Amino acid sequence: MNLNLSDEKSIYLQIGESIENDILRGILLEEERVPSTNELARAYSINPATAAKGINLLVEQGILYKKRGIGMFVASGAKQQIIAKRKNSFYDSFIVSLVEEARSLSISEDELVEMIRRAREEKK
Amino acid sequence: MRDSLLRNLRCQGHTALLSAGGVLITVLALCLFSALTAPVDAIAQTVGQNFVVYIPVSCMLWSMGISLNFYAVCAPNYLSLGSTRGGIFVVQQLIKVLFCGLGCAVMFGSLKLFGGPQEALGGTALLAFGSLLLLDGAGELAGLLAYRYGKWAMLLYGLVIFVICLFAGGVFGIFAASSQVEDNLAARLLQWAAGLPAAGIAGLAVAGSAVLAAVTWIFFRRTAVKS
Amino acid sequence: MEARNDMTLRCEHVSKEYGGKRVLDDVTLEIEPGRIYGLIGRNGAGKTTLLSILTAQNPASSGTVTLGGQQVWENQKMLDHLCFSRELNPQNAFGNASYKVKEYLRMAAAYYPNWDKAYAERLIGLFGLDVKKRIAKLSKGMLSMVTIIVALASRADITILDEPVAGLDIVSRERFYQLLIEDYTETGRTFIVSTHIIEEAANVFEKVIILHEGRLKLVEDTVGLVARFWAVSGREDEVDAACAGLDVHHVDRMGRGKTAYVSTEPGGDIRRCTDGHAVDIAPLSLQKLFVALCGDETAEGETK
Repeated sequence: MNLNLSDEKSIYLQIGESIENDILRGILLEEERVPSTNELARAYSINPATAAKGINLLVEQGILYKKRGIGMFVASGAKQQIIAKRKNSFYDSFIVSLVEEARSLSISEDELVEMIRRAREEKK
Repeated sequence: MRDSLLRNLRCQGHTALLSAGGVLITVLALCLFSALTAPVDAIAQTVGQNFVVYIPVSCMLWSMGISLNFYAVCAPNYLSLGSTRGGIFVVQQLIKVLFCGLGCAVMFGSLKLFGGPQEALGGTALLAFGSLLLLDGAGELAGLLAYRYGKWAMLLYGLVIFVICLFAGGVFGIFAASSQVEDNLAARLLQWAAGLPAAGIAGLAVAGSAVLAAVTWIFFRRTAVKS
Repeated sequence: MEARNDMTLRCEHVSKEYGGKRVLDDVTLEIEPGRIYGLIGRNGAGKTTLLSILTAQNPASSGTVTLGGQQVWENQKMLDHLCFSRELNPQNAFGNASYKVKEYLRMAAAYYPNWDKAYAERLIGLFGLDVKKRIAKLSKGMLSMVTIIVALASRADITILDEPVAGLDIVSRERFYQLLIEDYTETGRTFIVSTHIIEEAANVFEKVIILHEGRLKLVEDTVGLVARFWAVSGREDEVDAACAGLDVHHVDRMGRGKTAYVSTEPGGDIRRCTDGHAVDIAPLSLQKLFVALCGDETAEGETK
């Protein structure tokens, strides 16, 4: 878990992302218990209501589920779900702004595609 | 309610007990002084006789400081810790009466023990009680005024009291003395006051302190804790 | 978390005047039980006055303060649920200056019915406080520690802290926020914390109360509040067009550029206003939005 919060984004979103990252990295496995809102609140020194907001978002998206009286657990298939979700938002988060920025710099489509190809080569 | 009053009694009483201890030490110190300066063959007797005076004197010396201190320093503290004003006031009145009463009871007891003007026994004790109570009451009000309105208010208050006493005494004196007629109202009043049994004067003093306490409450009931 | 009674602290139409000057003006506020509130406002906004009226340490000029429906003024039973721990001024400290810390704590133990001695001792150890020192001799930081210890160890249902971190260094401040959250997750009691150091404390507050010039500016969920404030920047005409219909709280200008600090309605979408205009939008932190709201004496506000 990344216990270092930034000022850039809402705290509850960062908590949600941190849990997702842990699931992707295998720090949290499927069907495993996730820290409770109180535990998260104490770990980050934040209000439990904020931690709850982050958790509830993941519950709504089906990445976590609640076992009454016990706590929150990682749903099976959560890893795939997170990857799919991020793939979908990849377009909005990265592609759209990439294209807009390229347009404002007058970079042509061919140039853009060439840049992408080069980056993939270099990062092999 | 009872729990909180008992709690106030414990805490305020604790402070009062410390003050009582202070009085005791002063009395003992004065006795020591008296013993050291007494003729060698009559130490016990001298000390015993002076002891009677030392008690009210010490009480008066201390009570001035204690009573001034109470509403200026102690009460705001209790208020900031969440006590009600009524609770503080009622308990303090009780402690005040006990403190003065205790001092006079000790005086009374020592008069009996060490001898003294027996016939004025009860009267003297009552008189001391009344005047201590009055003094305490005046001090408390002064302390409260100083806390609420500043030192100048307290000084003004002291001045007012002083002027009232002067005035009352002066008026009486002038009327009584300057009148051609032997038998005027002021002279009669003075004679009556002089002839009052000690209990009567003590009664007046107690009444006076009750008035002061009432005025103190009028100011205290909406006193704020200052930052 | 323990069960909470319905101990809602309410003040209704509270005003306070000092010699003709209105320090608080018609403040109506409801403190829901079991939440951590942050009270922020400029110096002289009336924060301490409001808090001391809420705890009956200061009489209101008008208006009422109730707890669970019952009057708080001169009501020991209700006062027993409250703790108002304020900055101790070493000069007078409400007459405590000559007391030793341990004597003061002993008194606090007598006056707070839920006092937790073990907790107090643990906190003393944690802060490394010398309880034999006289209050008059304490540094500002140590005075803050005493304030914090009294507030936390009181275990009062509604605990109010007035500037608890004044004088503490960053490490001690972080420790305080940690202790506060630990206590809160354990007891679920209500806290109201007034502070000038807004950004650090923002994460700890579930709700924020903003007091400005004696008036209640807003009471809102921290997350929701922060979500509706934005900095819109770009060329002046574009910014003006984009912000039409939004509450503008403050404006910065440089050359042809302008940054407007705006807010939407709760649940509103800033993009609906700014889409199609050549402007950049950025979220605002609690601290920044507070400065935008309360920073100008003569606000350059352009409202709907």
